[in-house]
Amino acid sequence: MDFTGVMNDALLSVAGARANAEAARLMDEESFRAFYERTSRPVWIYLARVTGNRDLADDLLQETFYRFYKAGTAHQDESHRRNSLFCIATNIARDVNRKKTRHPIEQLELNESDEETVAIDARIAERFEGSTDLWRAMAQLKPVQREMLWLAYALGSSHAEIADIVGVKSGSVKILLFRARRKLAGLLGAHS
Amino acid sequence: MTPCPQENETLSMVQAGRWPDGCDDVMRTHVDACATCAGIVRVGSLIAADYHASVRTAHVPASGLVWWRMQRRSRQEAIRTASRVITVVQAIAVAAGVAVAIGILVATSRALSFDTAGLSKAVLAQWGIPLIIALASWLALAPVAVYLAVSKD
Repeated sequence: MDFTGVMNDALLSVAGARANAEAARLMDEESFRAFYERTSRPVWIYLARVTGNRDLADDLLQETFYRFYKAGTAHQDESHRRNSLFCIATNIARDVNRKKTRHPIEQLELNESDEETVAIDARIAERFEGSTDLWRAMAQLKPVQREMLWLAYALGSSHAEIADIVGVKSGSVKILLFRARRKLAGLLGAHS
Repeated sequence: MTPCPQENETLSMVQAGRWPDGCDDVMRTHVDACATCAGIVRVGSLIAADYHASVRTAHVPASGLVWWRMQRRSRQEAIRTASRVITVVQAIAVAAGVAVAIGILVATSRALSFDTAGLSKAVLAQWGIPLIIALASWLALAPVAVYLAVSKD
């Protein structure tokens, strides 16, 4: 066997050893499936609501669980593990929104102030499945406001958990949530 | 923003779906009078209701399918990484071979035109073993270093 062949074999054996070590670090199938059954629906709905696209939510759900699985992080408890999952989902949804540079949502993010009511863009509203008054109104919020409102009122996350998931200071959550809530209430009033 | 001491209680009530039928008159009176809690009730109850309705109708992929896709993707990524490393090792080996060949050619051409036998013997006697060790070490360690660098991503 030549030098290259020997090196290839050595590298493959090192890669195999690393793969085995990684497999030992990661969740086993049974644990993963149990965790998935407990958390997949809330995560899927969160992704669908934050991005406004149910079809996309399927792919993002897969990506979220894949990244969570590969991270192989040891968590203190179920709550910590769940927050970590939502943190990944939030980052993935933001990446998707960021990549759509020409999308009107981005224009809203760039131009909108907290106090300002932005005129409804029909294309944005259509993106939000169901197009109920709630989601037509939610479509006009900043992504981070949608995330916070959903985490607080749909999932019952604490302020500390929200801060951890969306990446803001814990002390700011209350005021940010208040502003998001007030804005949404105003938008709902305009719609109704 | 006006802070309200009953904010958390109102929030819990909304999340549990106890508004308006599952709460007492005291709470209803408070919500009517408190702008903060009224806002929580208005927005929170809509979002909570939407969430509970969505949970019932959401269709997520089966856990087995998601697991299978994850394993398949893991394998594909491992293969891609290994292939990239092997390609780098092969490139280094080829480059080393070419360098050695060029060295031999240069040495041979000099030997043909000059009487360098004595000089070569002297150089080899003084630097031969360190040169061989250095060359062997480089050949052995460079691919490993490249592998460690590449495998990070």
